[in-house]
Amino acid sequence: MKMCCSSKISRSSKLSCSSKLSRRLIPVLVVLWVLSMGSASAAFKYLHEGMVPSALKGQDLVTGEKVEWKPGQEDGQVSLVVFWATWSPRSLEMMRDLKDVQARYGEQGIQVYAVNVDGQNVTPTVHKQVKQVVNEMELPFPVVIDQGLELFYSYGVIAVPSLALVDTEGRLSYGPSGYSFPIRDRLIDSIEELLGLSAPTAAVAKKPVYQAVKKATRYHNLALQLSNKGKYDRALRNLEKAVAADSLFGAPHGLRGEIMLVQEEWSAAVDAFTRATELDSTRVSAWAGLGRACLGLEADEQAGAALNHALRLDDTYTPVLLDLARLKVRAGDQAAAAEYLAAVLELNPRDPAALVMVGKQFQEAGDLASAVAALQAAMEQRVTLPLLANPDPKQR
Amino acid sequence: MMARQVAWRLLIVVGLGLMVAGSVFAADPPDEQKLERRAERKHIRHLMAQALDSFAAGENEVARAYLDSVLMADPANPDVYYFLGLIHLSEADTSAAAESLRAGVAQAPMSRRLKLLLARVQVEAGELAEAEALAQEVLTLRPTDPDAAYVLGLVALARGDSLSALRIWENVMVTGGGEGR
Repeated sequence: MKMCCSSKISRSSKLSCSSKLSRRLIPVLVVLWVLSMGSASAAFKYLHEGMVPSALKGQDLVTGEKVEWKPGQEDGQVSLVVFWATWSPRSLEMMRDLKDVQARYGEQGIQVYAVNVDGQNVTPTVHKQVKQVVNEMELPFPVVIDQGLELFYSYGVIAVPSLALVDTEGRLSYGPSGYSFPIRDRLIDSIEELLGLSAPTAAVAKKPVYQAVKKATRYHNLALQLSNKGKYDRALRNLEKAVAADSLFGAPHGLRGEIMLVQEEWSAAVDAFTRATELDSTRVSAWAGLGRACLGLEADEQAGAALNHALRLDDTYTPVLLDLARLKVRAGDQAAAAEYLAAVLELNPRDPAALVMVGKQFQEAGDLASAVAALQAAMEQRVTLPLLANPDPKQR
Repeated sequence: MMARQVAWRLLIVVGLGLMVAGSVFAADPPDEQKLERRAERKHIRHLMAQALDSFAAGENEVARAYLDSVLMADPANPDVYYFLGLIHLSEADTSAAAESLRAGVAQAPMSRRLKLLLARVQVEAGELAEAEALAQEVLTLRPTDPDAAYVLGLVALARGDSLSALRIWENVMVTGGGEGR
């Protein structure tokens, strides 16, 4: 596919790009529209069903012992890695349920690992708050703090809480974002299936997951690490090697698209995400990326099509909801934008991008106090200073 | 052909051997001062970890005792003053926090963290001009520092200038990649 890329595209070239884009995308959309509209798929940005997640290292907040988990390290063990925060009410609800899960299925071979993602920088105050919550809940599984949110970024967590159920071979089996009754029910079904306690139910039954060539996975994971450190050129070189090692592996194309988005190379991003969706039409992050790239090209119609497709695959994927809100703002439909933003904040109450957009909406409506409150909440996600106004996490 | 390969391999092995031998003989003998400093640093890390654990367990006095021990060994340790400030803040004692942080800034005038936490406390205490000056000092060195911008926004809010606060924060969230990675 020929690209019409440039990081600084003029408006006229953007428009011509978008018409070229329409011609490119229509066949892809038409073909893929009819494909797999099944159950929600893995909702991490960089980790998809069938992939091996990053290992976990840390210190248990309760016992002080070292925690080291490698996917598939223990024979017959099913692992559940959960990302949670004290400021997220759904996280606390999930942790209470997981106490029961560990108690009920622990002996059958499941181990829960809780990863706290309260913030990028863990000050002694935050450490204390997290430990207090953990002690109060009397959790029967290890809890570690994700220093610098390294694991958070490595998995590409998009909402808190998020869960990664890993099978006995160390591959992601189920990875939803958010926590609701349907997710809890499906989680239990998936656990029972992986432990051999029940036959697959209709909700759990999935299409076979593509198993990438190991060499390609290694190059992809290395590229992911480099990309998270901002070393994009080296990441791209490794992605090329990953594609050369396994041309049917979709993840490297998706990651290449993400890098192109960061570099605002919209057309190159469209190409990369289109390839990723061709290889795996159920990959929500690829459809979301395609939508974002089309937004960058101001190809709103195609953006809407890709984003709505992603939404049908997983209605809890917050980047899609945010981009749909952006699309509605661009179309002047503030009410619809507000609905999407409310859905994002319901899933992820501290999503900074959503808070900034909400702030702008309040500002336009002349409600300065609410605009300031939203912006302040967004800023608090970026700062490393302790937040003095409301030190009690339960009140935040 | 075979002999040439063997010769090359021999050359590489001899070369590597010479390098290893050279590094062993050229290395300085262990410096006692270095070893002492290393042991001291390890001891300080241990004391800081103990202080953190005590603070997390709600034993602030024990934490303070550990931090005092660190200060005896390393009077200019900015982390100790920062930590002491946090302990005072957890006790809602803003003036004691400011005092610890001021002492820290005097000992470690280049510490960004200390300056900004002090500025944040000064906003709470209504010392807006001082807080603004400290935040501006940090911004001079790091123009996109989100913590400094946060404090400046709070100063603007405290002065009743909501629009300036919005502008400062919007600027950080847009230019500073507010959406994270």
